[in-house]
Amino acid sequence: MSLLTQRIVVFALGVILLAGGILRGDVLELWRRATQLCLGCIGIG
Amino acid sequence: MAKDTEKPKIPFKQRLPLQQKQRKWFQGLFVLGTNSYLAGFFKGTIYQGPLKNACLPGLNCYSCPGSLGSCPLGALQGSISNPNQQISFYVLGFLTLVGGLVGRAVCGWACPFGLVQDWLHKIPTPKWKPEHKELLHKLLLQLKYLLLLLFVVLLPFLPTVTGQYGDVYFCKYICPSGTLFAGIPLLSVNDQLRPLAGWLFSWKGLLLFIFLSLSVQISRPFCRYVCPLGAIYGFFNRISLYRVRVDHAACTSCGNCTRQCPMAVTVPLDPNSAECIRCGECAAVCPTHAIKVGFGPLKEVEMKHVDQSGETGFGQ
Repeated sequence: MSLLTQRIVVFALGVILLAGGILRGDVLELWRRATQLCLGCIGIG
Repeated sequence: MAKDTEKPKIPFKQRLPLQQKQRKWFQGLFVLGTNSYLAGFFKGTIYQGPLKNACLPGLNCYSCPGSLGSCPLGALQGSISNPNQQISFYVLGFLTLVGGLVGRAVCGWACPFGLVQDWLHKIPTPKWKPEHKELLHKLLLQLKYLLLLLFVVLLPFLPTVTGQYGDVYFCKYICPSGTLFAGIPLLSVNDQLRPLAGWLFSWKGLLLFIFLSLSVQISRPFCRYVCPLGAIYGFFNRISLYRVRVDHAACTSCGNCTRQCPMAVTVPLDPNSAECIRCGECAAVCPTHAIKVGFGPLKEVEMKHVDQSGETGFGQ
């Protein structure tokens, strides 16, 4: 597979995943998670 | 430990070419800009505004008091470990697009923990190059892939098979960036959190100390051997738009680039190796300007100087 083809596949996949995720509500889920303090991340668990 | 006496001497005027200056400014400003919720550092809280919808490209803990965005690795583990949620397509798409655009340039240009390691490595002490111990170096290079598979995917996922919540294992047990940028600032200011710190905080503090100490002597040890986010972006290095190009006709096989590379890449042989962080150090020391780093048309030619024995003339 040529470099150009690989790039087209990767960018198409990226756009599809990103758009699919946005439509599915992943962004809201990410916001919910990221606005809570992650106790494990800071070493409390 | 071998003293680093082989580094090429760079004439003063060439010490910081434009691209290097740009990178240092970009690194600093990007990290400051994306962690600019200053109130969090004083109150011991985290930013909860709408910008947290977006991922930041680097290993930037979303529990850092100043962080305006989300860490893609933490977000990925979070979605994998939740039995009521499918893996986040949004985060996967983000990683794919960023990887396709710039590959591991994220590590070299936009990661806060990469910046800290760069600074620490400037401390003038004898340096150690693990790549001189080839077997050890090659084995350690695989560690980040193992950690990606085990701590980012399998361990968070397995409990969800039985409907239980998994954990963000990499963030919780390994990530030194979270300890440095989130744990220490929050526990320093927040009186309610401080009494809760126990063995886990001590463990993560010990890991942070080890990585920071190693960074003084070894260039970017965490990026080289441990970071699963670097492993993910590394998959895209060979096809990314932002890349290293070597003009083999102009290359004199002096080996300066390979000796200068902070990630121990043999630049003329494998300029877009999964380890390359696109820092441009190789281009800065090339006496014939045969190496270019950036966007642009692909002008790579297969390496011509490899003989049957594999001797390349680009010794490390």
